[in-house]
Amino acid sequence: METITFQSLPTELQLLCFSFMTVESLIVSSSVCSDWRRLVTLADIHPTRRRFFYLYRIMMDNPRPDERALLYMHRNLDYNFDREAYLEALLKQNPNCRIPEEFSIWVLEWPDKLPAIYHLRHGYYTNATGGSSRMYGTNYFALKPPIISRVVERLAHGGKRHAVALLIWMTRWQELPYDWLEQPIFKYRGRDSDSSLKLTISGTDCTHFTQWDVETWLMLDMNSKYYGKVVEYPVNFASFGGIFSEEALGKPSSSCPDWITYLGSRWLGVAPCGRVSSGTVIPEIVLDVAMRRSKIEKPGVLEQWAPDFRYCTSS
Amino acid sequence: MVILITSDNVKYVVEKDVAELSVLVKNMLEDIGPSDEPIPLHNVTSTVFNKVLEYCIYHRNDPPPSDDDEGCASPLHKYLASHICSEWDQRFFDVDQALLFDIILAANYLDIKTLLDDACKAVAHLIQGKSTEEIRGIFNIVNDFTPEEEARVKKENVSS
Repeated sequence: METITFQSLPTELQLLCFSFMTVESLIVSSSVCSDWRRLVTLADIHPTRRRFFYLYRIMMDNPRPDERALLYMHRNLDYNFDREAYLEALLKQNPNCRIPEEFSIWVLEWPDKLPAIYHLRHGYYTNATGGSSRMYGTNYFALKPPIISRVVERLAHGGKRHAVALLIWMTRWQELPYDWLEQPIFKYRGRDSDSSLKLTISGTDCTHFTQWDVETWLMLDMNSKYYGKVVEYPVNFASFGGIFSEEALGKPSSSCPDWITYLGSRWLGVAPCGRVSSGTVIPEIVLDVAMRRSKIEKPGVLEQWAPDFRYCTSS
Repeated sequence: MVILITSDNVKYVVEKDVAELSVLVKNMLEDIGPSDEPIPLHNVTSTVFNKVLEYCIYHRNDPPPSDDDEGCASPLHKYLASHICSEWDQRFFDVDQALLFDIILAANYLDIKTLLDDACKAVAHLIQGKSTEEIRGIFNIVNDFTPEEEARVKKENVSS
Protein backbone atom coordinates (compact mmCIF):
# COMPACT_ATOMS: atom_id res chain seq x y z
CA MET A 1 0.00 0.00 0.00
CA GLU A 2 1.20 3.48 -0.80
CA THR A 3 2.38 5.50 2.17
CA ILE A 4 0.11 8.38 3.00
CA THR A 5 1.64 11.84 3.05
CA PHE A 6 0.25 15.16 4.17
CA GLN A 7 -0.17 16.15 0.54
CA SER A 8 -2.29 13.07 -0.17
CA LEU A 9 -4.84 13.92 2.52
CA PRO A 10 -8.10 15.38 1.23
CA THR A 11 -7.97 19.17 1.16
CA GLU A 12 -10.57 19.56 3.89
CA LEU A 13 -8.43 17.49 6.26
CA GLN A 14 -5.32 19.48 5.40
CA LEU A 15 -7.30 22.62 6.14
CA LEU A 16 -8.36 21.20 9.48
CA CYS A 17 -4.69 20.76 10.43
CA PHE A 18 -4.03 24.39 9.49
CA SER A 19 -6.92 25.55 11.65
CA PHE A 20 -5.06 24.43 14.79
CA MET A 21 -1.82 26.24 14.02
CA THR A 22 -0.40 29.04 16.12
CA VAL A 23 0.28 32.47 14.67
CA GLU A 24 3.96 31.65 14.17
CA SER A 25 3.20 28.35 12.44
CA LEU A 26 0.73 30.06 10.12
CA ILE A 27 3.30 32.67 9.15
CA VAL A 28 6.02 30.09 8.54
CA SER A 29 3.63 27.73 6.74
CA SER A 30 2.67 30.36 4.23
CA SER A 31 6.20 30.29 2.84
CA VAL A 32 6.59 26.51 2.56
CA CYS A 33 5.15 26.03 -0.93
CA SER A 34 2.47 27.51 -3.15
CA ASP A 35 -0.15 24.99 -1.99
CA TRP A 36 0.38 25.79 1.65
CA ARG A 37 0.43 29.49 0.95
CA ARG A 38 -3.06 29.16 -0.51
CA LEU A 39 -4.32 26.81 2.21
CA VAL A 40 -3.33 29.16 5.02
CA THR A 41 -5.64 31.81 3.61
CA LEU A 42 -8.49 29.29 3.18
CA ALA A 43 -8.34 27.49 6.51
CA ASP A 44 -10.89 28.13 9.23
CA ILE A 45 -8.40 29.82 11.54
CA HIS A 46 -9.22 31.28 14.94
CA PRO A 47 -10.33 34.82 14.02
CA THR A 48 -7.84 36.50 16.33
CA ARG A 49 -4.99 34.43 14.95
CA ARG A 50 -6.11 35.38 11.46
CA ARG A 51 -5.97 39.04 12.40
CA PHE A 52 -2.41 38.58 13.61
CA PHE A 53 -1.56 36.76 10.40
CA TYR A 54 -2.85 39.73 8.40
CA LEU A 55 -1.14 42.18 10.74
CA TYR A 56 2.06 40.37 9.86
CA ARG A 57 1.29 40.67 6.14
CA ILE A 58 0.65 44.39 6.58
CA MET A 59 3.99 44.72 8.36
CA MET A 60 5.78 42.92 5.56
CA ASP A 61 4.06 45.01 2.89
CA ASN A 62 5.05 48.17 4.72
CA PRO A 63 8.55 47.42 5.88
CA ARG A 64 10.35 49.66 8.32
CA PRO A 65 13.92 48.78 7.60
CA ASP A 66 15.75 49.68 10.75
CA GLU A 67 18.65 47.32 11.16
CA ARG A 68 19.90 49.04 14.25
CA ALA A 69 16.59 48.83 16.05
CA LEU A 70 16.42 45.14 15.20
CA LEU A 71 19.95 44.59 16.41
CA TYR A 72 19.21 46.44 19.60
CA MET A 73 16.13 44.35 20.16
CA HIS A 74 17.90 41.06 19.59
CA ARG A 75 20.59 42.08 22.02
CA ASN A 76 18.10 42.97 24.73
CA LEU A 77 15.27 40.53 24.20
CA ASP A 78 14.74 37.86 26.81
CA TYR A 79 14.42 34.70 24.76
CA ASN A 80 13.50 32.63 27.81
CA PHE A 81 10.50 34.76 28.60
CA ASP A 82 7.80 32.54 30.12
CA ARG A 83 4.73 33.61 28.20
CA GLU A 84 2.16 31.50 30.00
CA ALA A 85 3.47 32.44 33.44
CA TYR A 86 3.18 36.09 32.46
CA LEU A 87 -0.51 35.77 31.67
CA GLU A 88 -1.20 33.63 34.73
CA ALA A 89 0.47 36.26 36.88
CA LEU A 90 -1.73 38.95 35.36
CA LEU A 91 -4.92 37.02 35.97
CA LYS A 92 -4.07 36.34 39.60
CA GLN A 93 -3.89 39.99 40.52
CA ASN A 94 -7.53 40.90 40.54
CA PRO A 95 -10.84 39.07 40.17
CA ASN A 96 -12.07 41.69 37.70
CA CYS A 97 -9.08 41.13 35.47
CA ARG A 98 -9.82 39.49 32.14
CA ILE A 99 -7.21 39.30 29.44
CA PRO A 100 -8.54 40.23 26.01
CA GLU A 101 -8.00 37.44 23.54
CA GLU A 102 -5.96 39.66 21.21
CA PHE A 103 -3.53 40.33 24.00
CA SER A 104 -3.21 36.75 25.25
CA ILE A 105 -2.60 35.36 21.77
CA TRP A 106 -0.08 38.11 21.16
CA VAL A 107 1.81 37.30 24.33
CA LEU A 108 1.65 33.55 23.74
CA GLU A 109 2.28 33.36 20.04
CA TRP A 110 3.92 36.41 18.50
CA PRO A 111 7.32 35.05 17.50
CA ASP A 112 10.49 36.42 19.03
CA LYS A 113 12.06 36.45 15.61
CA LEU A 114 9.61 38.95 14.21
CA PRO A 115 10.43 42.63 14.05
CA ALA A 116 9.23 44.60 17.03
CA ILE A 117 6.46 47.08 16.70
CA TYR A 118 8.50 49.89 18.14
CA HIS A 119 9.28 49.14 21.73
CA LEU A 120 6.27 46.94 22.37
CA ARG A 121 7.70 43.63 23.44
CA HIS A 122 7.31 41.50 26.45
CA GLY A 123 10.67 40.17 27.51
CA TYR A 124 12.24 43.40 26.30
CA TYR A 125 13.10 45.00 29.55
CA THR A 126 14.71 48.18 28.52
CA ASN A 127 14.06 51.85 28.71
CA ALA A 128 14.81 52.68 25.13
CA THR A 129 14.93 51.13 21.72
CA GLY A 130 17.81 51.64 19.38
CA GLY A 131 18.01 52.65 15.77
CA SER A 132 16.24 55.41 13.94
CA SER A 133 12.85 54.33 15.25
CA ARG A 134 14.17 54.82 18.75
CA MET A 135 11.65 55.34 21.49
CA TYR A 136 12.48 56.63 24.92
CA GLY A 137 10.45 55.56 27.84
CA THR A 138 9.82 52.58 29.98
CA ASN A 139 8.43 49.33 28.76
CA TYR A 140 6.24 48.39 31.72
CA PHE A 141 4.83 45.60 29.68
CA ALA A 142 8.09 43.75 30.36
CA LEU A 143 7.97 43.97 34.14
CA LYS A 144 8.26 40.51 35.65
CA PRO A 145 5.88 39.66 37.08
CA PRO A 146 3.53 42.05 35.28
CA ILE A 147 1.75 44.51 37.52
CA ILE A 148 -1.71 45.82 36.97
CA SER A 149 -2.76 49.16 38.35
CA ARG A 150 -6.03 50.76 39.03
CA VAL A 151 -7.20 53.78 37.18
CA VAL A 152 -10.21 55.97 37.81
CA GLU A 153 -13.02 55.68 35.31
CA ARG A 154 -16.07 57.91 35.09
CA LEU A 155 -19.34 56.04 34.86
CA ALA A 156 -21.90 56.92 32.21
CA HIS A 157 -24.47 58.10 34.79
CA GLY A 158 -21.90 60.13 36.75
CA GLY A 159 -19.80 58.88 39.62
CA LYS A 160 -16.47 57.13 39.43
CA ARG A 161 -15.09 53.67 39.89
CA HIS A 162 -11.71 52.05 39.99
CA ALA A 163 -10.84 49.87 37.05
CA VAL A 164 -7.85 47.59 36.59
CA ALA A 165 -5.55 48.27 33.68
CA LEU A 166 -2.09 47.34 32.52
CA LEU A 167 0.43 50.09 31.95
CA ILE A 168 2.14 49.21 28.72
CA TRP A 169 4.48 52.02 27.99
CA MET A 170 5.40 55.42 29.20
CA THR A 171 7.33 57.87 27.12
CA ARG A 172 8.87 60.28 29.53
CA TRP A 173 11.40 62.26 27.64
CA GLN A 174 13.26 62.37 24.39
CA GLU A 175 16.56 63.46 23.00
CA LEU A 176 18.64 61.70 25.60
CA PRO A 177 22.26 61.28 24.66
CA TYR A 178 23.01 57.74 23.65
CA ASP A 179 25.45 57.01 26.53
CA TRP A 180 22.67 57.28 29.03
CA LEU A 181 20.39 54.78 27.48
CA GLU A 182 21.79 51.91 29.47
CA GLN A 183 21.12 53.74 32.74
CA PRO A 184 17.58 53.03 33.78
CA ILE A 185 17.63 54.90 37.06
CA PHE A 186 17.12 58.60 36.97
CA LYS A 187 15.71 61.20 39.29
CA TYR A 188 13.15 63.82 38.52
CA ARG A 189 14.08 67.23 39.93
CA GLY A 190 11.15 69.33 38.81
CA ARG A 191 10.81 71.55 35.84
CA ASP A 192 12.53 74.63 34.49
CA SER A 193 10.58 77.78 33.79
CA ASP A 194 10.43 76.80 30.13
CA SER A 195 8.84 73.46 31.09
CA SER A 196 11.81 71.36 30.19
CA LEU A 197 12.64 68.71 32.72
CA LYS A 198 15.47 68.60 35.19
CA LEU A 199 16.73 65.11 35.71
CA THR A 200 19.58 63.51 37.57
CA ILE A 201 21.11 60.64 35.70
CA SER A 202 23.94 58.67 37.22
CA GLY A 203 24.62 61.46 39.69
CA THR A 204 24.84 64.16 37.06
CA ASP A 205 22.21 66.90 36.94
CA CYS A 206 20.83 67.41 33.49
CA THR A 207 18.28 69.83 32.13
CA HIS A 208 16.68 70.84 28.87
CA PHE A 209 14.91 67.74 27.87
CA THR A 210 12.11 68.20 25.47
CA GLN A 211 9.21 66.49 27.08
CA TRP A 212 6.91 64.16 25.26
CA ASP A 213 4.48 62.45 27.49
CA VAL A 214 2.52 59.42 26.56
CA GLU A 215 1.14 56.77 28.83
CA THR A 216 -0.30 53.77 27.08
CA TRP A 217 -2.74 51.53 28.90
CA LEU A 218 -4.55 48.35 28.14
CA MET A 219 -7.83 48.05 30.01
CA LEU A 220 -8.24 44.64 31.61
CA ASP A 221 -11.30 45.34 33.73
CA MET A 222 -14.19 43.21 32.56
CA ASN A 223 -16.66 45.74 33.96
CA SER A 224 -15.17 48.73 32.19
CA LYS A 225 -16.55 50.07 28.97
CA TYR A 226 -12.95 50.41 27.86
CA TYR A 227 -12.35 46.68 28.34
CA GLY A 228 -9.86 45.36 25.79
CA LYS A 229 -9.13 48.83 24.48
CA VAL A 230 -5.80 50.58 24.32
CA VAL A 231 -5.91 54.06 25.75
CA GLU A 232 -3.27 56.73 25.49
CA TYR A 233 -3.38 59.83 27.60
CA PRO A 234 -3.94 62.81 25.38
CA VAL A 235 -2.69 66.27 26.34
CA ASN A 236 -5.96 67.34 27.91
CA PHE A 237 -6.05 64.38 30.23
CA ALA A 238 -4.81 66.19 33.33
CA SER A 239 -7.37 68.96 33.11
CA PHE A 240 -10.06 66.32 33.44
CA GLY A 241 -8.51 65.03 36.64
CA GLY A 242 -6.81 62.04 35.09
CA ILE A 243 -10.06 60.17 34.86
CA PHE A 244 -10.80 57.74 32.07
CA SER A 245 -13.78 59.32 30.42
CA GLU A 246 -14.82 60.34 26.95
CA GLU A 247 -14.19 64.01 27.66
CA ALA A 248 -10.74 63.41 29.07
CA LEU A 249 -9.66 61.07 26.31
CA GLY A 250 -11.28 63.17 23.64
CA LYS A 251 -12.98 60.20 22.04
CA PRO A 252 -15.60 57.58 22.92
CA SER A 253 -14.49 54.15 24.06
CA SER A 254 -15.89 52.64 20.86
CA SER A 255 -13.24 54.40 18.81
CA CYS A 256 -10.33 53.36 21.02
CA PRO A 257 -8.36 50.64 19.24
CA ASP A 258 -8.10 47.09 20.49
CA TRP A 259 -4.63 45.55 20.83
CA ILE A 260 -4.23 44.40 17.23
CA THR A 261 -5.50 47.63 15.73
CA TYR A 262 -3.19 49.52 18.05
CA LEU A 263 -0.16 47.49 16.97
CA GLY A 264 -1.07 47.95 13.32
CA SER A 265 -1.48 51.70 13.67
CA ARG A 266 1.80 51.94 15.53
CA TRP A 267 3.61 50.01 12.84
CA LEU A 268 2.20 52.26 10.17
CA GLY A 269 3.15 55.31 12.19
CA VAL A 270 -0.37 56.50 12.85
CA ALA A 271 -1.05 57.87 16.31
CA PRO A 272 -4.19 55.93 17.11
CA CYS A 273 -5.16 57.14 20.52
CA GLY A 274 -5.61 60.85 20.33
CA ARG A 275 -2.13 62.06 21.13
CA VAL A 276 -1.91 65.55 19.81
CA SER A 277 1.58 66.94 19.97
CA SER A 278 4.93 66.77 21.58
CA GLY A 279 6.57 69.31 23.82
CA THR A 280 3.52 69.88 25.96
CA VAL A 281 3.60 70.52 29.68
CA ILE A 282 3.57 67.24 31.46
CA PRO A 283 0.65 66.88 33.87
CA GLU A 284 1.55 65.97 37.44
CA ILE A 285 -0.69 62.98 37.27
CA VAL A 286 1.47 61.51 34.58
CA LEU A 287 4.65 62.10 36.50
CA ASP A 288 3.16 60.41 39.47
CA VAL A 289 2.70 57.10 37.76
CA ALA A 290 -0.38 55.11 38.47
CA MET A 291 1.39 52.43 40.42
CA ARG A 292 2.49 55.04 42.88
CA ARG A 293 -0.86 56.71 42.69
CA SER A 294 -2.64 53.64 43.99
CA LYS A 295 -0.52 53.92 47.11
CA ILE A 296 -1.34 57.55 47.61
CA GLU A 297 -5.05 57.01 47.33
CA LYS A 298 -6.72 54.79 49.87
CA PRO A 299 -5.03 51.53 49.09
CA GLY A 300 -7.22 48.95 50.84
CA VAL A 301 -6.69 45.53 49.34
CA LEU A 302 -5.20 47.16 46.31
CA GLU A 303 -2.00 47.73 48.28
CA GLN A 304 -0.54 44.48 47.09
CA TRP A 305 -0.56 45.59 43.48
CA ALA A 306 1.50 48.64 44.22
CA PRO A 307 5.11 47.61 43.88
CA ASP A 308 8.16 49.35 45.13
CA PHE A 309 8.59 51.35 42.01
CA ARG A 310 12.18 52.46 41.77
CA TYR A 311 12.88 53.27 38.21
CA CYS A 312 11.61 56.79 38.42
CA THR A 313 11.60 58.58 41.74
CA SER A 314 10.38 62.11 42.01
CA SER A 315 12.27 64.07 44.63
CA MET B 1 -21.43 -5.82 22.23
CA VAL B 2 -20.84 -4.84 18.62
CA ILE B 3 -18.85 -6.83 16.09
CA LEU B 4 -16.69 -4.81 13.71
CA ILE B 5 -14.63 -6.15 10.83
CA THR B 6 -11.73 -4.14 9.41
CA SER B 7 -10.76 -4.09 5.74
CA ASP B 8 -8.11 -6.78 6.31
CA ASN B 9 -10.76 -9.05 7.80
CA VAL B 10 -9.86 -8.78 11.46
CA LYS B 11 -12.84 -9.16 13.75
CA TYR B 12 -13.28 -6.93 16.81
CA VAL B 13 -15.84 -7.35 19.56
CA VAL B 14 -16.34 -3.90 21.04
CA GLU B 15 -18.58 -2.59 23.80
CA LYS B 16 -21.49 -0.63 22.41
CA ASP B 17 -20.74 2.71 24.08
CA VAL B 18 -17.17 2.62 22.77
CA ALA B 19 -18.23 1.68 19.24
CA GLU B 20 -20.83 4.42 19.22
CA LEU B 21 -18.19 7.12 19.64
CA SER B 22 -18.02 6.63 15.88
CA VAL B 23 -21.01 8.42 14.40
CA LEU B 24 -20.74 6.15 11.36
CA VAL B 25 -21.10 3.01 13.48
CA LYS B 26 -23.81 4.59 15.61
CA ASN B 27 -25.89 5.43 12.54
CA MET B 28 -25.38 1.97 11.09
CA LEU B 29 -26.51 0.35 14.35
CA GLU B 30 -29.60 2.51 14.33
CA ASP B 31 -30.31 1.60 10.72
CA ILE B 32 -29.99 -2.15 11.07
CA GLY B 33 -31.65 -2.36 14.48
CA PRO B 34 -30.87 -5.12 17.00
CA SER B 35 -28.77 -7.71 15.19
CA ASP B 36 -25.61 -9.76 15.59
CA GLU B 37 -24.44 -8.99 12.07
CA PRO B 38 -20.83 -7.79 12.00
CA ILE B 39 -20.32 -4.28 10.70
CA PRO B 40 -17.70 -3.96 7.98
CA LEU B 41 -15.30 -1.01 8.12
CA HIS B 42 -14.13 -0.89 4.52
CA ASN B 43 -11.61 1.90 4.78
CA VAL B 44 -9.82 0.98 8.00
CA THR B 45 -7.06 -1.59 8.46
CA SER B 46 -6.53 -3.40 11.76
CA THR B 47 -3.22 -1.58 12.37
CA VAL B 48 -5.01 1.75 12.32
CA PHE B 49 -8.13 0.44 14.03
CA ASN B 50 -6.06 -0.75 17.01
CA LYS B 51 -5.03 2.85 17.57
CA VAL B 52 -8.54 4.19 17.05
CA LEU B 53 -9.90 1.67 19.52
CA GLU B 54 -7.22 2.56 22.09
CA TYR B 55 -8.25 6.21 21.82
CA CYS B 56 -11.97 5.47 22.07
CA ILE B 57 -11.55 3.25 25.12
CA TYR B 58 -9.43 5.86 26.89
CA HIS B 59 -11.86 8.68 26.06
CA ARG B 60 -15.13 6.72 26.42
CA ASN B 61 -16.23 8.65 29.49
CA ASP B 62 -15.24 12.13 28.33
CA PRO B 63 -18.07 14.63 28.54
CA PRO B 64 -19.28 15.59 25.08
CA PRO B 65 -17.61 18.80 23.91
CA SER B 66 -19.69 21.87 24.63
CA ASP B 67 -19.29 25.49 23.63
CA ASP B 68 -21.19 27.09 26.47
CA ASP B 69 -18.47 27.30 29.10
CA GLU B 70 -18.84 31.08 29.20
CA GLY B 71 -18.72 32.65 32.59
CA CYS B 72 -16.94 29.96 34.56
CA ALA B 73 -13.60 30.01 32.79
CA SER B 74 -11.69 33.03 31.60
CA PRO B 75 -11.23 33.33 27.84
CA LEU B 76 -7.57 32.52 28.33
CA HIS B 77 -8.22 29.25 30.08
CA LYS B 78 -10.75 28.27 27.49
CA TYR B 79 -8.18 29.06 24.88
CA LEU B 80 -5.42 27.03 26.52
CA ALA B 81 -7.71 24.08 27.17
CA SER B 82 -8.71 23.89 23.54
CA HIS B 83 -5.17 23.95 22.23
CA ILE B 84 -3.05 21.83 24.50
CA CYS B 85 -3.45 18.10 24.30
CA SER B 86 -3.15 16.04 27.48
CA GLU B 87 -0.01 14.07 28.23
CA TRP B 88 -1.76 10.84 27.33
CA ASP B 89 -2.80 12.32 23.98
CA GLN B 90 0.74 13.52 23.32
CA ARG B 91 2.09 10.01 23.89
CA PHE B 92 -0.72 8.49 21.91
CA PHE B 93 0.02 10.65 18.86
CA ASP B 94 3.77 10.14 19.11
CA VAL B 95 3.72 7.79 16.11
CA ASP B 96 5.25 7.90 12.66
CA GLN B 97 3.71 10.31 10.20
CA ALA B 98 2.09 7.73 7.94
CA LEU B 99 0.18 6.22 10.86
CA LEU B 100 -0.83 9.69 12.06
CA PHE B 101 -2.30 10.51 8.66
CA ASP B 102 -3.96 7.08 8.59
CA ILE B 103 -5.56 7.88 11.94
CA ILE B 104 -6.83 11.17 10.51
CA LEU B 105 -8.36 9.39 7.52
CA ALA B 106 -9.90 6.70 9.75
CA ALA B 107 -11.29 9.26 12.20
CA ASN B 108 -12.78 11.14 9.30
CA TYR B 109 -14.31 7.98 7.79
CA LEU B 110 -15.61 6.70 11.14
CA ASP B 111 -16.76 10.23 12.01
CA ILE B 112 -15.10 10.57 15.43
CA LYS B 113 -14.85 14.33 15.79
CA THR B 114 -12.64 14.49 18.90
CA LEU B 115 -10.10 12.03 17.50
CA LEU B 116 -10.03 13.88 14.18
CA ASP B 117 -9.45 17.23 15.91
CA ASP B 118 -6.81 15.85 18.25
CA ALA B 119 -4.93 14.14 15.43
CA CYS B 120 -4.95 17.34 13.39
CA LYS B 121 -3.70 19.23 16.45
CA ALA B 122 -0.87 16.71 16.60
CA VAL B 123 0.02 17.57 13.00
CA ALA B 124 -0.04 21.29 13.84
CA HIS B 125 2.18 20.45 16.80
CA LEU B 126 4.75 18.80 14.48
CA ILE B 127 5.19 22.14 12.75
CA GLN B 128 5.33 24.32 15.85
CA GLY B 129 8.63 26.17 16.16
CA LYS B 130 10.01 24.75 12.92
CA SER B 131 11.51 26.74 10.08
CA THR B 132 10.23 26.65 6.52
CA GLU B 133 13.14 24.42 5.49
CA GLU B 134 12.51 22.02 8.37
CA ILE B 135 8.81 21.76 7.51
CA ARG B 136 9.68 20.92 3.90
CA GLY B 137 11.96 18.21 5.25
CA ILE B 138 9.37 16.80 7.66
CA PHE B 139 6.63 16.48 5.06
CA ASN B 140 8.84 15.93 2.06
CA ILE B 141 7.47 19.01 0.33
CA VAL B 142 9.11 20.53 -2.74
CA ASN B 143 9.61 24.29 -2.81
CA ASP B 144 7.69 25.19 -5.95
CA PHE B 145 7.78 28.98 -5.77
CA THR B 146 8.76 30.91 -8.87
CA PRO B 147 11.81 33.14 -8.47
CA GLU B 148 9.56 36.21 -8.05
CA GLU B 149 7.43 34.51 -5.41
CA GLU B 150 10.55 33.17 -3.78
CA ALA B 151 11.93 36.68 -3.42
CA ARG B 152 8.77 37.83 -1.69
CA VAL B 153 8.57 34.74 0.49
CA LYS B 154 12.20 35.18 1.54
CA LYS B 155 11.50 38.72 2.58
CA GLU B 156 8.68 37.73 4.87
CA ASN B 157 10.21 34.56 6.20
CA VAL B 158 10.51 34.75 9.95
CA SER B 159 12.94 31.93 10.30
CA SER B 160 15.63 33.34 8.02
